Amino acid sequence: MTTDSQERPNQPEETFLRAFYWLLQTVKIHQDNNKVLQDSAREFIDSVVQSCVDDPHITFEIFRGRFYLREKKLVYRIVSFDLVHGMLQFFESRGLQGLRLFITMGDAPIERVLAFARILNQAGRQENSLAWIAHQLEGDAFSWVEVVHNQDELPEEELELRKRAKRTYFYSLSAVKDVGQKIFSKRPVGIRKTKRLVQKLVDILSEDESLLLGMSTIRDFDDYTYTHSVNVAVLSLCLGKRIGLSRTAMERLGICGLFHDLGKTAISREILFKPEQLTNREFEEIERHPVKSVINIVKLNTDEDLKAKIIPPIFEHHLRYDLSGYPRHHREKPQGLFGRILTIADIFDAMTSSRIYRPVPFSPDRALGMMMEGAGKDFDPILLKVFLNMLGVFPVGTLLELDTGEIGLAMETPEEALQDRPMVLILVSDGKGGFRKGKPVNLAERDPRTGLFRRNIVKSLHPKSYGIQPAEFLL
Amino acid sequence: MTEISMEKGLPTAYDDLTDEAFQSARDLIAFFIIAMKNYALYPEDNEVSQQSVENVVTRLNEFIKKYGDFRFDVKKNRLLFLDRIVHQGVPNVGDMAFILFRDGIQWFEFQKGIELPEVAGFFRLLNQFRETVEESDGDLVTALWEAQFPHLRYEATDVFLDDEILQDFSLLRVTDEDDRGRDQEVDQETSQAISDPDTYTATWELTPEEINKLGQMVLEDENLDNIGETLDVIIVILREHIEEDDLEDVLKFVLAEFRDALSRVELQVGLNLLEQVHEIHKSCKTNRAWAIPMLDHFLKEASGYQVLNVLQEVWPVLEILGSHRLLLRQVLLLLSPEAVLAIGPMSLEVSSPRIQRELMEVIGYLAGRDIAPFERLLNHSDKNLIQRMMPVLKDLEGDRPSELLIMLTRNSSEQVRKTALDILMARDRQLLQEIFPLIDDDSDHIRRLILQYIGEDRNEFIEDFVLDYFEQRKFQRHDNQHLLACYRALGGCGSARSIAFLGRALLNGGWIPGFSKSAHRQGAAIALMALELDEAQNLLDKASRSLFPGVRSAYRKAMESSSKKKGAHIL
Repeated sequence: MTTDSQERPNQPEETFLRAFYWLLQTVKIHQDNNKVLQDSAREFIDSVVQSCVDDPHITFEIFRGRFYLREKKLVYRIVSFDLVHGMLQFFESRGLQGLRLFITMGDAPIERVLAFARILNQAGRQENSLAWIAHQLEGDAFSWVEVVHNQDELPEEELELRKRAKRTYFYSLSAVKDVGQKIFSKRPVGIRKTKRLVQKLVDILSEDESLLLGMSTIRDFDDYTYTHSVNVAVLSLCLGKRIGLSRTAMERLGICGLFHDLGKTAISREILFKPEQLTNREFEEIERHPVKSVINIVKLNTDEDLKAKIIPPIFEHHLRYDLSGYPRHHREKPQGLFGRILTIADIFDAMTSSRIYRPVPFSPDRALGMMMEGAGKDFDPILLKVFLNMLGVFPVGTLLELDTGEIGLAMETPEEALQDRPMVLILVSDGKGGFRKGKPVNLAERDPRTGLFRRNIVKSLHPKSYGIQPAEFLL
Repeated sequence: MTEISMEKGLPTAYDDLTDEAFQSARDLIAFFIIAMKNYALYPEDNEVSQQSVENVVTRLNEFIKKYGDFRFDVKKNRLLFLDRIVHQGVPNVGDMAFILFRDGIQWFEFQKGIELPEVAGFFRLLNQFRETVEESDGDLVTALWEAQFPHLRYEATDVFLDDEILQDFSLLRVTDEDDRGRDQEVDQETSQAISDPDTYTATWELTPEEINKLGQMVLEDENLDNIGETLDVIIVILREHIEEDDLEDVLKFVLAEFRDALSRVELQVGLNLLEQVHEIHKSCKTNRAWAIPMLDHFLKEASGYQVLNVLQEVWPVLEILGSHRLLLRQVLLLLSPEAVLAIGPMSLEVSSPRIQRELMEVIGYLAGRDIAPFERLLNHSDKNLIQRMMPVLKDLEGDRPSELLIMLTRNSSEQVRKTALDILMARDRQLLQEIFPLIDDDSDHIRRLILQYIGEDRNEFIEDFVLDYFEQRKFQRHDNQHLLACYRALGGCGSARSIAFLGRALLNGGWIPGFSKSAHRQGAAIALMALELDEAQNLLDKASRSLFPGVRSAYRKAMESSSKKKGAHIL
């Protein structure tokens, strides 16, 4: 179920980090023969040995302000923030980008492991810490440890995942377009491609939720319907994962997201892009699109069972929790689970997108604020809570003005509910009216001298006002 | 472009790889190929298919035990085990390498712990997706993803996406250029942002009750009756939103769902659907007349064998669940009378007398609404079917059922003719004249039966027929027993009007040629006795005193026959 962070308070990565941190602290105050110190060393050794599952070593390194263990990003949790932040500072202050620890550490004398910890501590007082560490660790005595130089390039696996996410997003976009166009031209349409892409989205989601949420910030003013469809699919999938849907249910939900607006293919651009108020007839046509979507689903070349499963949510995606909304109906049955998920995802993406009738979209945090007002009436209150917890106060992709005068792009939200201090990517002016990526910073970081936060949010901004595609920076 | 569709597999280590391992891999693949071919030739539950997949599992586990996980690479028309060819085929849908390659699979790995159901599942999918269809709803890769076999890993490329141009950010416009730079005054005036301290409170944490409820929601969704939900939506659309151009497609889908509902014994769903369709049909008469032919067509299709044949799998369930039988009855009663063409033949397969009876009642009701389809059913070549269906005609109103029965009295099957005769007589004795020709039926049994019916009641019309039969010498059979039976029947149905003829037959006999003269005399005597009229008795007395021995003999035999018959009655 929802609260992942509650379910896995001690991930192996965090256990390792905690053991490492504890060793570095205890070695400062105890002699080698002290039992507490020796216990902490053993605990550290154990955590290394246990982490060497598939490989004879583990690599622990920093990329863009985040720890990676075995190329896996350490989950950003507020409860472990101080620990992670402390270790980040420890490494960064020594210019240390990472360490590779070998399983043979398990055979090393405990005094050697303690010496290794002392070297790391003492390095802080050396002029060129990194070089000094490398020099100290040379030789057979420390054959089980290596200093890692990564030039701050993301691990290959992480880079591949990002590439995969981007490709999958854009292929999904093209798949929805393709289906829409074939339906419009009354050609037969299958969903093989769509299915594969949704399966990929589900796989990516299982690896990195933030990455996918970042992708959902992609906007296209001209082909709004298609990016919107993919975004709704992505947001729905993320919400579906949070509530513990099965893999096959997720597949269905993703297809619902991609196809929920297929009915818009029949609506003329004149209506979709009409800046003035729509006439009653035009509005009726817009209101018919969920029905048209269902009819288009009916016409798909796919098995009837799948159609049957995706029709109700698509029909319901503009209904409200209290069954108001459109299309008109005389049902008394409540909206189904997928319908309620789609409604939330659909509204959020629509509110945060620039439209012809509302050129300035709502910033994500303001959109969420407005949606909260409709909890229990427009939206399932429990699902909305999960959605808010998932996105955080400042959802990934929110552009933030900081009290340092900097502009930051929310790149990751802590796993815990509604934390208002996300990781942000500082955006730096490129001198040509645009921006380039700056460094990632954690807004939860405090100045150790004053105890105050180093940076505070002044307000959220609209990426569109700056012509920014947040996803472009987040990938 | 390569993407890993499941957890990325680490290369399997074959440290001790020898020629022996390669040979084992090659042998193993040969078993794979055999199993694949058998799956294509026989059903999965066939002994041959089952045996071949068991062979694969046995060999696979032996291999894994000895050399570790079994992984092979896939090329267009060959399979490789550590870069050495273990299978070489031709690139067509009969070849395992080609099927895997075509859907983008690059390698497969069967891991330690693999069991029969997984391997059988693999071959099932392989067979299912042997041939791909353009614009299909999936392929081997999507099916494997859904199946999620725990000890099977693979890597697949997006073969179908390779020729697509991948869009990029540069092609997307975040907003209209005219609006860029316009400030965000719009939302400032509206509601609070979630980040406002007043809004952002700890109350957004899920309570334990909410967590429970959420779990419940997910569980309910997994067990949801999708057909019911979907048809509800479709009915809303049909009632309130449908347009002429879309109706046919929607009804086609509804038809498939209706069939599905029946096959899953979700009869309440089926019943609701048909009730709604009938209501919509009624409402369309006033404002959407264009829908009526399509709705009629739908009902006709829903009543066809292609849909109703799913019930054949359902009978055992219905035998146990009485409430379901009642529902099915209600469903069937709402179908078009055409349904009898499907239900009738299926009723022969039903072993339960209770269900058979209920089906016959349904058929009777539907035939009562329109007898034409039932009539077509009675033209069926299967005599057993006709035999089973005929009782329906007994209670149907109108002339047509009798006409059909009369027609059936001419059926080639003796049993059908007999049953038709019985039912017809049960419906209306007056129709006896219509089936009078049966008097010369090939079957002794039928002849006896019709003569029995003829002789049961006095009936001048029939009497005329019988008289005519004799007088015009229409009798085709020169069988004395038959003649005697005909005379006996005439005695039963006849009146004084027959006496003149019978007198002639008994006393003169000149009009009768050859050998059957004595039979006619005897028959006439029997008939006269049966008439029980004084005038008839006078003629019999006269016969008893006749100078002609043949006439006296006829009288005597008739008397003996009559005594025997009476005696038989007394006994």
